Amino acid sequence: MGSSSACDGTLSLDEFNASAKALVTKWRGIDVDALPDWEWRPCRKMGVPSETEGFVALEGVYRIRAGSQIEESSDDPVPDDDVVGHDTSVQSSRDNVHLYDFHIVYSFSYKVPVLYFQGLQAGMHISEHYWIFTSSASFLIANVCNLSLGGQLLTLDEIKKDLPPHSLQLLNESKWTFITREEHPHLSRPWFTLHPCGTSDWMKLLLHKLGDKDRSLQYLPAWLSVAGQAVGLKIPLKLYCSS
Amino acid sequence: RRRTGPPESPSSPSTATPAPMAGSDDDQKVVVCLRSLGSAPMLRRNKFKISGREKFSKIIEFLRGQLQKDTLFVYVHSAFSLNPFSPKPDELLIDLYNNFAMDGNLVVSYAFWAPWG
Repeated sequence: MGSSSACDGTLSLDEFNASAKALVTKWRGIDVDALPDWEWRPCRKMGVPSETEGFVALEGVYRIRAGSQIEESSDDPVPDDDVVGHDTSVQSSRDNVHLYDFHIVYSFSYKVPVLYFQGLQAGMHISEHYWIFTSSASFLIANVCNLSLGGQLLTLDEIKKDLPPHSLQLLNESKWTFITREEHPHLSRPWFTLHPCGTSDWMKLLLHKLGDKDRSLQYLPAWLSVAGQAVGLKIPLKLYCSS
Repeated sequence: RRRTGPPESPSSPSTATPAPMAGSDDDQKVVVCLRSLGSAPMLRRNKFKISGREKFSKIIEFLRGQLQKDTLFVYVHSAFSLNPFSPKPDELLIDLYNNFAMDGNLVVSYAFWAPWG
């Protein structure tokens, strides 16, 4: 204990685990419209879940491409919970619904979190019930009854088309945010990733005023406020408010 | 827990474009205090009153213009909430102010982005 590793913008594996669990707990406790919950995923070695290694996953984030047809349908039943804005139904889904997964994984070599993500082309036959469309962005939460995934992985160009202008600006302008393709450390498949090489530099700035204990717990939410912007993931302000 | 008070009376003109109904904006103005970090220079004038209906992008653009730099790192740290973060550009200033201001000021820190490698 008493590690001052975050003074240099890095964090230890233990600190990552603690920060990840704090993020998951806090996220669950706030009212996040348009995004599902982060979940802790322990790594499995020989089928046994690890106590010390894991990552945080946000999966099933829907993005509807701009220009797709979305029509209001007043006939749809209104769900009791999670009603935000108004119900819409996707009349013609075709190729314009994309499904994203985001994983936050600890990097042993850089000693920082790394964002891994991938997008999938959703197939047709999307349920027309219980879609909730938020006015702020093109994200949806779906209590989906009947979604079949086309399964086709999106290319980087296709993913970039889903990104808001600010994200593209960050990716292009800033030397610290760029996307590469790397093998996911725990899933052994190539995913897209925000390269971690600049992370400790800006984390140093974000965390410089905090004491050791606060630094490690606040690391992931602080980090996410920046990483999220690069990939168009809108992190709610409430995450940063005192409980 | 210290509650934030109403914004101080203006000592300098707002940087926001005039609202159509200026009178009704009075209770929506926020005071932003810009704080430099590292090698980023301090501004001669670093305290502003601005409409809370403006977005955080206004602050970012202002800083870019003043410092002639595109690669800025701009963030909010409230001693209050102990949760530092970089706000989304479309975040409303009134929301940031209401949640993170201290002693009537929303403190926004900025630094130059040091290229890696």
